[in-house]
Amino acid sequence: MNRRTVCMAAGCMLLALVVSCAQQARYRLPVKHPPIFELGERREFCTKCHGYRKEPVDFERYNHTPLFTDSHRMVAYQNQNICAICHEQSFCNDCHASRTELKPSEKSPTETYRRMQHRGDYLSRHRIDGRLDPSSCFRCHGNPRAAATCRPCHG
Amino acid sequence: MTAQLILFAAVLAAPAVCRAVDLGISSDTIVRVYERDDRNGGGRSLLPVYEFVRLDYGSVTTPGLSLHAYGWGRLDLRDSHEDGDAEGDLLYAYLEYIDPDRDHQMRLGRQYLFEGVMRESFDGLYARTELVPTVALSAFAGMPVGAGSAAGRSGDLVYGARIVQGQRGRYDAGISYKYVANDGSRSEELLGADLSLSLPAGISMFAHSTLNLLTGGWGEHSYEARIPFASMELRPFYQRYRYSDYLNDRSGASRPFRFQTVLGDRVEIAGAEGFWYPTESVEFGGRYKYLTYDSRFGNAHMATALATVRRGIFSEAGLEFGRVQGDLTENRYYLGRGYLYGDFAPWFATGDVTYVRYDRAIYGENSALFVSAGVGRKMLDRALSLKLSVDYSNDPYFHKDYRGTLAVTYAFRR
Repeated sequence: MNRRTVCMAAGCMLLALVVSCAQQARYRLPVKHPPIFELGERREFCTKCHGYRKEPVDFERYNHTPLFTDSHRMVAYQNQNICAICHEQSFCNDCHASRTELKPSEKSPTETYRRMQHRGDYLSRHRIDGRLDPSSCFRCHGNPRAAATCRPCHG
Repeated sequence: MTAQLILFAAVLAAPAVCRAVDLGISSDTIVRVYERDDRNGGGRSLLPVYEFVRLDYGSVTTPGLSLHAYGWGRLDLRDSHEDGDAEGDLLYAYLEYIDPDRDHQMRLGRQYLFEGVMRESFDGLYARTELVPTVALSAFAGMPVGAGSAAGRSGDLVYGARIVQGQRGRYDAGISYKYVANDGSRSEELLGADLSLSLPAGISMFAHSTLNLLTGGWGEHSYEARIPFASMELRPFYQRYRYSDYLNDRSGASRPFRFQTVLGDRVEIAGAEGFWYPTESVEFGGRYKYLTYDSRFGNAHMATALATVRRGIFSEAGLEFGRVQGDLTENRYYLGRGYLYGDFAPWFATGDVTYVRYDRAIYGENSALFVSAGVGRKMLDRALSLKLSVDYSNDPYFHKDYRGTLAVTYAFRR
């Protein structure tokens, strides 16, 4: 079953390569966005300047809505290089880190607009959220090192 | 140790190969003050100082060779944390090379990768290349940072790859693979597929699936659509997780995750996010989730609604109201939050209030109140920031708890 799945995946990759011969003009992402007013440190809508064009980048996809912190994973999975145009990896490490002691909201308590995870009294709330949707917890606390946060109480 | 060697080599090598060398150093010094009770009934007065340092060296804004490093350390000035007087970690330290045409990218060192199923902090090599304009291939190999255990890093290995094929403005389809070994034994092996699709009328669709090759089952299916109309947008989504395939019970995993894999439950999450932007400075948003389970619970609802007002470039205020309602009383609470970030350059002021009302008391407390107020000032052409924050919390775990945070942020670039 597993071997067959891997073979099918490899076949899909080869097919993608063949299909790609229907070439398209190459577009290269810039390494960095021009620096304007701490762009990577605030919540912004890309479409404000770039409009709703789908090419060369679907800018609307990266609009930082009021709930962007909660639901950006699907776009980040697909091309982290677009995130890197505005954000340094350290910005992502505020939440996504192999090991850190400070909750994101404790490291940057004055950045209230970032809607950081675990704001306020999350110790009580996590009992409920964790029971109802442990998959959300697992994404960050799943590996043994990150689970060090959980082990003092949960073992 | 590997990362330190790479850092040293890079510092020696970078000036020789970079066309225009930039040096950027960012420092965040955070002093916190608070008190905690010991398990033995005593009290500890804590005054930890955290230092977060970031270094960027080389052609940071143009293709070429560059070095990036970021880490933190903590020193206790008064009573110790339970794990000792000092602690710290190197979060990343890598050399990056981007070729002048930007078709190829390489990173060597400790880094965080976030691509398809490859969500990993590792010490090793990452490479990405655009084979042809519509196909990108990336691969990585090294030692996983997260797999630390009593046996050290011997026998720890992680590698993976992702290939993505797409047509700009139409679709991107990717297949990714990740293998993790911990202490010589296979602890994780995932195959994933992801898709983004642009449809007529500005509609977009996303899909992401993960197959656990250890258990042979699908761990996750996630689908999301984005449907804009006028100044509104609707984002319906559907997710399905099977815990025995999504979570894992490898050594070092936390007990709740290991426990969930044994239960073998499956959760389906359906719902939608919605946004309305009546003006450029006013936003209304909301999210509703409906969770159903195979065996453990009946169902649960999670809903939140929020409104924000923005002014100028930085100022923002928002209100939020949420409700979580599981079928059991212990899984229910109301949440209200208000926040403010006021920019009065060079000063800024912040406020954050969160109130939670639990349907069933936790340790005899029915509610939690968190209040935070902050003030700050930016100086030296925004290179230096001083921030002072005072927090108050009264909740099931902390009775009338006061905390203070002083943060000094300095960014140097030449």
